[in-house]
Amino acid sequence: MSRSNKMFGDIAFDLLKDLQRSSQTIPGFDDDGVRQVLEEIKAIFEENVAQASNYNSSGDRSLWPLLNYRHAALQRNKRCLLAYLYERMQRIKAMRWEFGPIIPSDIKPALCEPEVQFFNNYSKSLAAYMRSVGDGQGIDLTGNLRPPKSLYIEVRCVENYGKFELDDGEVVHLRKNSQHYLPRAQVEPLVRQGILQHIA
Amino acid sequence: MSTRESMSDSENVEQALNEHDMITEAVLADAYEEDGDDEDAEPITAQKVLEILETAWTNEMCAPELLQHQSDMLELMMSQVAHMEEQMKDLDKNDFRFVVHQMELERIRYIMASYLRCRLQKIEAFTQHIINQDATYDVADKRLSPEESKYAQEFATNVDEYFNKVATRYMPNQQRGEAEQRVVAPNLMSHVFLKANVAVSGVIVGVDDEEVDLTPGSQHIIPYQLVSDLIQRNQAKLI
Amino acid sequence: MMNYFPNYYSIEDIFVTQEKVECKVNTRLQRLGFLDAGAETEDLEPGRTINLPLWYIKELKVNNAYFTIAVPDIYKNVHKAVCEAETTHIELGRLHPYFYEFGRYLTPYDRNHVIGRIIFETLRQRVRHLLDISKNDGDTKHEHRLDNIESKLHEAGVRTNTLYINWLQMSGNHIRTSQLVEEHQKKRKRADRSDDEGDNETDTPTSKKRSTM
Repeated sequence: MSRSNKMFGDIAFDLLKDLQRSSQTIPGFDDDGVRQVLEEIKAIFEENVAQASNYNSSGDRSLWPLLNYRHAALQRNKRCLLAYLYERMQRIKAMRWEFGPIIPSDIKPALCEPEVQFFNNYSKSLAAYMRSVGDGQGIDLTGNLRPPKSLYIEVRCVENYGKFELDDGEVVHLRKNSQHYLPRAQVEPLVRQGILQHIA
Repeated sequence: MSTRESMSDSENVEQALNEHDMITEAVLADAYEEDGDDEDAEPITAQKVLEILETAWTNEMCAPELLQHQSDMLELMMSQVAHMEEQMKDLDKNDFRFVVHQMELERIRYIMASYLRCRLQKIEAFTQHIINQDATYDVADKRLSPEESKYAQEFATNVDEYFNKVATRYMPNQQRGEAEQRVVAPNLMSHVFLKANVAVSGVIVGVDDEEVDLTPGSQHIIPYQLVSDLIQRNQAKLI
Repeated sequence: MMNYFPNYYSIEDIFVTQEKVECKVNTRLQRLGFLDAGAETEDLEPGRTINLPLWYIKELKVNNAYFTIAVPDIYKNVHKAVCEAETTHIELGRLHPYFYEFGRYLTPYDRNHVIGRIIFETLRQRVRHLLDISKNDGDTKHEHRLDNIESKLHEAGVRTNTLYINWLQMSGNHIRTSQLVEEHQKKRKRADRSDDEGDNETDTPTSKKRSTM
């Protein structure tokens, strides 16, 4: 524990504060912060174990308040750290729903290896679940996001996408700034991904 | 998290199936009997299945906790949708009926997807709580469908692994009770809007055992926990 | 759905419990001197006044022998306004970002039982006002006037109101680019632009419309 003005638990709290403050989709995993918190937890724990055994043998209660305080600090550290991971997990989950099963390449460096693994497992598990619904008939839950009002919608291409084949075999060329009138259900994923813009 | 859902119009989906020349009741009845072991399984209409799903959907959206799964109804509806799609292949795409039916299908699909998404959100939020709770229920009363149960287990394992690799394995021994402390549970005392389907007498509505009789169609604002059994027994629905 | 119900991972609750509370030390506390910023002693001396984080306070028994918890001035200060039913003018958010939650945690330690009454009355008086401003000024930011829970209520109110208006105008049904993707693209665009200044923002909508029906 550094003897600066930092109190027990402050580093752990900063992890959360930085995460909340960041405007990025997900800021880089704070390796260093996490390591420091884990070290603080370990240090508090070891000191407490040493003094607790002392207290047990001598029956001297005078250090009880200190043990108590440090115990609360240890729990606080754990809570902040796990809340940090939990909040990152929420954002990683959201990415699966918004971006699909592949992590965008410019976001990937922000994740640590266990987080990438979490994403992949989550993605696989979700896909397997969606396939299994209704005794194996399957349903895509990442689509059908809004109550349908009309079957066809007018869209404008935001970027050059290339050929897009509709369910009935018809092929449309999606070129930047071109406008189309297409079946809502089939183009919804492209609108969600920002390739098309729904204009009417 | 809640951005995934937009609470929606319970549009006249009823109408969707009303004029349905395409729905063949026989298909449904077959599917139903194939499935259930109970001899006195009544044939059920597609209309009825949709009504049940619709109610399950609004209840699920409004209830703080996960409600009982409806996989039988869902499965029936999905085969029905597939069946309708099959039949529609023979229709001219510019036929007015084609457009109407296509709309109906889209709407049903939306309801089913929205319903299942809502359940997944709860499963992910209250994973351990739901798993523990389901372990104490009889097979017939389980909240999770078999598919959801598998998903919940996988999710719990996945989260544990992530937490463990990054943090918990470096932490000193956990104390008793610490794991329980981390279990996230729904707030069952949150208030809900309720509409009585039938007359219910002697509903306890306050801490001091104050009782109230509900008349059919009457609406109330009340802490969820006090009426959760009415929802379960279909004596009331959430709105 | 608006439902404030803190759990173990709830960041808001962690923020509330990070707040400091003024306490008086009642008895010598060995080796806790580091809690007293103004002293160099190894032990914490009786009679000193120190600030302790709420996450520690809430683990203490109400009648613990070590510390006496002082009711923060902010609650005493609104007392007069509460009595005169004038709380809607208070810039509550400036007084304390977590006015209600913070107060709720301290209620058991308040021997005169005023905090509980104050926060209840304050909210009761202000809720009507909140409802009104949610309806009237959707976009105006009330930076320091609302406490955390109040701004959430306000947001929810504005959102519901917007949904309602959209619904009236039948305009709420556009599929949109998902929020995450949108933010992500903005970022990417900024990066692109610094790479090759210029030509990727030629937004000339071609009116060529193709029906694929």
